[in-house]
Amino acid sequence: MLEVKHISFSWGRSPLLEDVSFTVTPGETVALVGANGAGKTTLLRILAGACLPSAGTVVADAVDMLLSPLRYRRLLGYLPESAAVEPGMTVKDYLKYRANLKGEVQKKIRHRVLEAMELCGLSARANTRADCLSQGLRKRVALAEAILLRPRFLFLDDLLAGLDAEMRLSVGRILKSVSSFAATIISGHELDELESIATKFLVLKGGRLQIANTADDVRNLFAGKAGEEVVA
Amino acid sequence: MRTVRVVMLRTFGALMGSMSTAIAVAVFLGVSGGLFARALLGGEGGLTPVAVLWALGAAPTLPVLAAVLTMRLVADDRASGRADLLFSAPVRPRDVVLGKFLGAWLHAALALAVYLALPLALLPACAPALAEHLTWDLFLPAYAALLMQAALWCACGIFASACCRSAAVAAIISLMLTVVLPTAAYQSAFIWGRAFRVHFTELPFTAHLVDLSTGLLQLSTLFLYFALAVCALFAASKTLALLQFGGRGWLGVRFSTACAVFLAFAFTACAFLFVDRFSISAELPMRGGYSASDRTRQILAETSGEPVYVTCFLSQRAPAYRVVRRLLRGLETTARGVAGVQLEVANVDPRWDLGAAGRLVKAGVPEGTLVFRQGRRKVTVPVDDLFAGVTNDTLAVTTEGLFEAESACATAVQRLSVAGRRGTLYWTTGHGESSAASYDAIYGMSDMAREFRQNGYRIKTIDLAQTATVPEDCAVLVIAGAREPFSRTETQRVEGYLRGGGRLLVLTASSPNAGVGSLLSDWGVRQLPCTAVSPSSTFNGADVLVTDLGDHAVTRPLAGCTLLFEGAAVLQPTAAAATNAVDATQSAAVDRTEFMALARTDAKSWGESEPAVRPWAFDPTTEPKGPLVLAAALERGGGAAKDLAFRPTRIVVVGDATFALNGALARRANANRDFLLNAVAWLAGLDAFSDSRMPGNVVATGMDRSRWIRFGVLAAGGPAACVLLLGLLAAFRRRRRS
Repeated sequence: MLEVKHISFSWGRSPLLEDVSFTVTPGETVALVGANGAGKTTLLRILAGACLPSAGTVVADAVDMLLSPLRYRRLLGYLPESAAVEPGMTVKDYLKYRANLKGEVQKKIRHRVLEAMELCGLSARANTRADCLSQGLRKRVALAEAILLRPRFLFLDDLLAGLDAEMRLSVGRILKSVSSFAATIISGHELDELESIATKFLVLKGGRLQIANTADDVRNLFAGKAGEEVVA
Repeated sequence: MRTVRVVMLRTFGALMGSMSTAIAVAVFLGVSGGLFARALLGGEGGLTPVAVLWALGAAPTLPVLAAVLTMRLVADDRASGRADLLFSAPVRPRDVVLGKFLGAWLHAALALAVYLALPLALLPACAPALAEHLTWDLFLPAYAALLMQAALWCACGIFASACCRSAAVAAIISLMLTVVLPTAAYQSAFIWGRAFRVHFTELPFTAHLVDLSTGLLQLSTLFLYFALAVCALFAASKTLALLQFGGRGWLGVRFSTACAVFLAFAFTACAFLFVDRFSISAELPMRGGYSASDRTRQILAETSGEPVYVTCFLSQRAPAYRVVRRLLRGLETTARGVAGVQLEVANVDPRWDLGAAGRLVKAGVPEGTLVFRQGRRKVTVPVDDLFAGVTNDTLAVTTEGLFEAESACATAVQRLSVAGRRGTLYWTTGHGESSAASYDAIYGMSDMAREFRQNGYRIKTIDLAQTATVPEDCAVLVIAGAREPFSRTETQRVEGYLRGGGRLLVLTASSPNAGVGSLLSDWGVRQLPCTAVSPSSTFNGADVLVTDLGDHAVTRPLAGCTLLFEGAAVLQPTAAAATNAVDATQSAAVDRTEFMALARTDAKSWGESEPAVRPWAFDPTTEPKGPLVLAAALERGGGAAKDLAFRPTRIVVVGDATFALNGALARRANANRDFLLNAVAWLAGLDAFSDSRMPGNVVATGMDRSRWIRFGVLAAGGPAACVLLLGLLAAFRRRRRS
């Protein structure tokens, strides 16, 4: 179980996240939504360990991210917003490199890489340079990287942005199969697609977190001011 | 360690497959190759080992290569967002930094290994004479020294890359840290810090490179590089870790990180000063180490009696200390090898050996002196005098200086056993002659004058216009490059001196009418109105290298040596002179002058009548064809002198006024100095001819100009082109993948 405890974060003088707390149970897929600049990416970066909170902590399966950062990071997979890949490497080599870096046992690496590529539909492009792929395919590579070692927790930042309809459908299938072993938090603006994937919504508004069960609840939350922006 | 290995291999692979890296390495190899070729050209005739020249060729461009190799390693991760991915993986920033550093360092090591091909593969093809003695193990210390510097530069580059998001800015910061700041600090300290000036005559990084390349390991130096590299990597990993502390409320963390980095550097500085105080050093047993000249061997072999005790009263911090120590150890070994006098060397450091230093000071020996003692005789040589003859460039005090210093030490040993003066040389003045008292680095003649003095001659000047006769104590009258003609009276006085069995040394100026040209014609030698040129035996096109030396007492010990002439006049015997020994025997008249050519050019040379008009072209109708005589010895009455108590007249004429100027003596592997010493010894009637002082390990490539150009082009372009080709192939392969 992932427990986010009283996370706060601020850039300069203005607070971005204020006392954010929630829990995610195993197998659950949670959608993180909010207006542009609401702090979705920052929250996911904090959860992924790429950024440390100004206050609060995160505990994943009883492992505190501040006390045991390396053990904590072994439990998670992360797809950053930029979906950056290492330049000059083929998809297969890149995934092998990342598996090695994450400390996977040498014997299992090949199997893990093949499995991730199969799951993300990248088998045909195994020997293509990852940095030469289109934005959508690069997202698939980044997703394959995130699920490579079957993490317990998966943080996917703006996964659906820039993907065509067919690819969004396949992402849905991927996440469904991933939910067998991982709890997932996926951020984005696409409420309709997210509703079909997620079991609940976390809504960031004014630095505070609110929980909604359906997309309509989210729309109601933003009905006053920035609803259209959120719905996109 | 696994993370380190994985990141290292990834970094190395990325650098190997990058076209921009291939271009950077190609530029590095091209510039370094060019600098090495230039250093080899400049080091011709010097004692700087080829390995040192090789290392110095790469040293200026190595920081640039390191900056280019490392500039993207962290900055790109930050700019592209890969840093987030890195931090989400279970890796420590320090492992990532170490892995990236090792990858870049490995690549730099590979580039240096390719650069090593220049002396090991290219030099044997272009300069087989030099490369004959070169093996790969001679370059190991130099390679290790460059690797050490590359490690420090790469560590600084990683730190710079961790500090910013732009690779270009990272490269600039890296160059600031590795080149601009150290050079600026050194120059500032050199200008304003007097104490600093005493200890350092060159940039410490260059001095470290030279020391390590010649096998001198100093603990403080090794510690400095290691500690600085570790500090830079520590700072880089801390900077990388700070990226996680993005938000507000982490000011304390940033401050404490900055303090930690500052303390690390402060601790390194203190530890370095502590280690440096002990001056712990060791010398690697380098094969092909110091090799003394034939002259020094001869002197050591001929000196007998009690052992000669050499005391080096010099601070270990003095810039000349390392060179002097190498020299004395070399002389000690040489003395043991030639079975002559035994040499015992002792060092007295005024900072540590207080008792011995006090005794020396009480005896009137100042600090910075070598004391040669045999029995009750003592000769002191100031260390400054050892290096007085070398130009004050980067290598002056480090290695080139050995060349003259060895000669001065050998002369000091010789003077212990040879008592008294050898005679007085009278140096004419008033006709634009080169002055024995001039210390001008190019046009002075102080080096040659000091050499005469060290060999026991006294030098006095004489103005023949003011002096009725040449003094009786004149051993040799020297006319060194008179540009104005002697007056009739002066010529008559020289004539009178010669008729009385006088001895004359003439270095002629280019004009046949200058000096005592008319007088020389009467004595059997004429100066032609042309300048000797040789397209095949030249370094820079204007000078002429002469290896064809006559069979004469002056030149016999110099067999195999090279004389260097520049703008030399061509000499020709007149009808009054017998042109060889057979003629001289047949016409054994006392008043018959025997002409002996001492130095002759090769067959491809000619006497250029219009040297100012380029390009030079041989005109067979008006210009003499080689071999041409550029130096000659004349003797009248030599045959009779064997039977009678008759003092023969002797003249040595050298057709080059610049032959023994400071600039010419310092230039290349030439035996001009020994030639003149032998000429004066022969003229003075002494049986003390010098062998060549050219040491056994002198850099002598044997390359002429065209081969130099070929080597330079190949050195600068060969490896660089190969690397570019490989880079293109790798890029083509990558393109096919995409």
